[in-house]
Amino acid sequence: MAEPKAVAAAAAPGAAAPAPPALDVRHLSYAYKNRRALNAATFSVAARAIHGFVGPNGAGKTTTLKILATLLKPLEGAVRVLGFDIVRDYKAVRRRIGFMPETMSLYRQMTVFECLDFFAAAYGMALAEREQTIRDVLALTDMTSRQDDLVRSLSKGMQQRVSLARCLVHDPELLLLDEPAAGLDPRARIELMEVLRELRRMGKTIFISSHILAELGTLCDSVTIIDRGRIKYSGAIDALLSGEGDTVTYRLALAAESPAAAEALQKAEGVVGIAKLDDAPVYQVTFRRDRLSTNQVLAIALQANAQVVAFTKGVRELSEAFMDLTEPGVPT
Amino acid sequence: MSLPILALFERSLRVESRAMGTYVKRLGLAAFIFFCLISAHLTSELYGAAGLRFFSSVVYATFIFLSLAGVGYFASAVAEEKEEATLGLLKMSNLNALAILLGKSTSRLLGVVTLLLAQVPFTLLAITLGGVSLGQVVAAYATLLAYLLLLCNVALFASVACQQVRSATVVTGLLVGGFLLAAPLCHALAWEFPPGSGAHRAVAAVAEGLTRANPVARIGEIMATGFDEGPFGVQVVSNALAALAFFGLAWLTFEFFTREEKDVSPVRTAFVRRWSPLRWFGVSRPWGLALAWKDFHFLAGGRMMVVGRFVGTIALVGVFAWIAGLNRHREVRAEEIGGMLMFCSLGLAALDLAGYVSRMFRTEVQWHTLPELMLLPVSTRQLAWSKFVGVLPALVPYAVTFFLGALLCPEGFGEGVEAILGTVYGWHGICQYIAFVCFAGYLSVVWRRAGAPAALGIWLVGNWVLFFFLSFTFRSAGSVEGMFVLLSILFFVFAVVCYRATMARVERLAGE
Repeated sequence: MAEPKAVAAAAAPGAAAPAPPALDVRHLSYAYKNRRALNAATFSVAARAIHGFVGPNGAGKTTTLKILATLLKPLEGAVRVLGFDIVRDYKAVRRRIGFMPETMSLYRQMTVFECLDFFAAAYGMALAEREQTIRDVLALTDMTSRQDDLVRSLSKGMQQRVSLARCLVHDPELLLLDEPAAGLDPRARIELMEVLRELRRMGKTIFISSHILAELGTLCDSVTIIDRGRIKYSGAIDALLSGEGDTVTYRLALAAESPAAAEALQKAEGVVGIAKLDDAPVYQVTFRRDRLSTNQVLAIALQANAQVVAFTKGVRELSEAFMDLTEPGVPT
Repeated sequence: MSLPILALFERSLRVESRAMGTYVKRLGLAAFIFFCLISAHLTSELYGAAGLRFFSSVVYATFIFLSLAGVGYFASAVAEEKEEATLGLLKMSNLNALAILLGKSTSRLLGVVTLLLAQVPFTLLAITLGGVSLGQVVAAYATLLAYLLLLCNVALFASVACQQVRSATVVTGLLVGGFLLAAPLCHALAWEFPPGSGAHRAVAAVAEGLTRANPVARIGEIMATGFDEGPFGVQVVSNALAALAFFGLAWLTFEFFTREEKDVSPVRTAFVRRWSPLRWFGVSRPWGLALAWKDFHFLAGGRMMVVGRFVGTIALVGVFAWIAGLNRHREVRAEEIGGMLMFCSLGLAALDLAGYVSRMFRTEVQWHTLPELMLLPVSTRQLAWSKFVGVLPALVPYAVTFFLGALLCPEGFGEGVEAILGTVYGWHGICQYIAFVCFAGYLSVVWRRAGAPAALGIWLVGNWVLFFFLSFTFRSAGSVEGMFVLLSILFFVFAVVCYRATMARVERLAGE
């Protein structure tokens, strides 16, 4: 049977067609028995980007990844991976993706070479082609020297590398990585991030779920934050961290402590949050840009007799954005 | 307040009492007893002694079911904790070896004992139906309980000594099977020596002792008319003492076998380096059918086991030929050996294939590799059939020994082919086997443990029930062949249902 064609986004006649997103998720819902894991999740991921997927435990990250990897069928909504519908064209999707699940799932009784050779053959690669490909992925993951060792004899970090090599062996266009850095030591984590950057340079799209927000912040081009099955943010990471969305964060440095100014700002309509930083009289003010302007915020502080030393746009860490956008407590 | 030594025991009982499966088993048991009662009633006009037939059906079926399903159930006691790497955590708590053994094994024993005792009020009806006395009922249950005790504690020891449930199940099966077969083998061996010689007398005495300890022989004695012994014969006492000894052995060796937490991930039959002179026994480069390659080398045992199967089949036929020679007091003819070769090859191939199918997806689930396979660009059915192809090279030794047998006994071969392919009974056998394999495959992805032996137990009892009712239905119509045609169709449909259910279940498991 002929391979189905990927569907690109509709473009106006004569205009250059925009590159179709690598992932296009529309109103995706999923439920386990009577518990809703995903609720009308909508987001997209540009091709050749590294996209972070973050959320608290039980938010629906692994469920989303399993749906994208065609292991689960969506309850509602539509998902296109590299232009292919994941339900109808699941074989075409599987041929083009590499999925690294959270639980290590390798044939531990095989050697590293046998394991990669098996998957390469299972994806239909010819014997001669397999040799070269395996050599390349082993070099990329720095496992060449251990290729004749049994997988069971390797450390967790090395098994993680083999798992990544296994994902790459059929040269997928999209990598779906579920907590690839979990349980790795700092060196292994840094090396893994380097490998992922190298893969992006090679033109792969990477969709990575992780709890290590500091590293994701520096690695990713875009990010989706999910909480209790709902998408809280999806877009460029710079926009999220610099506050180019609905809210913006500024740092207000005063000459001396001013509880009155802090209280006035707290009460002002449009201010989402105010936090005092460290021991110095410095406040981080987050406000809705459609309700308040920077001049108005500054005016409120001055009217409360505060001596303003500096008022600068603050850049948040991903962890701060994560905390702002997600709710505390365990989902029920 | 509960004693620490009984903490795990109590917990196991509580979990068991909350599990739906416990009640399903009891319901199944009640249904089976009901069937036995109906069958005794229906056949009472033909054979008489309805009570004895009802009672012996229940006792023999219970014995078979305990032997098949009990092996895997009891053997997983401690080994499952090893597989899940949780035994270390148990040992770190306040639980000592005795508490762990009691909690993991004795609770299971108690569960089965309650199942057994639940039968008693019903089987007492046998006395009313006639042909059986209260003494026989009590003696039969004492025999079954003693055997159960032995089975449980042999399995407990195997579970302590082995790292994996599968190896513990195999060891238990070998020990218990060896015990059950030891008496007839010793009787046969006694004839190797001249009658009246010291060796003959010694072996015959051992054979006699083993027979008296054998539960099958004891049940036979109990079911005989005129049985008037007490309930606690040699079999009960010896089985109970042996059970105690195995429990003690498990307790004594617990620390030795569980001192270190070992890697229980699957091991390969033979790890031969690519440059070794024995590399033919090692793993080849993957074939075009990669899944078949994987399962041939890593599930069916690869080339090493191909040789092993060939040698094993020849050895088994050798043992049979030796026993036949002893019984007939003459050299066994080539045609007879040919017949044995064909019979053993077919039997072993059928067993091997059923065992393989029941492990095909179970091992992938157990070692968390199923999602990886499901990500391959093939449908679940293609995946299953590719895996199935992997076992075919492993069956080559049986094909070789079968045709070797056909060469030695061409007449037997012709008759066998005619009987299997030329009659409705033969086709019924084929359909029945296919349905059984599909059922075993299905149970293996639904139950965590002992899917194949449980499938065999359910199959035997279920077959008996089905056959009984159909034979009554068709007796009046006078068409036995018609009954077998209908049975063949039923089994074929059942096989298709099991196959489809297995595929759906595998897809679900991959997403869990």
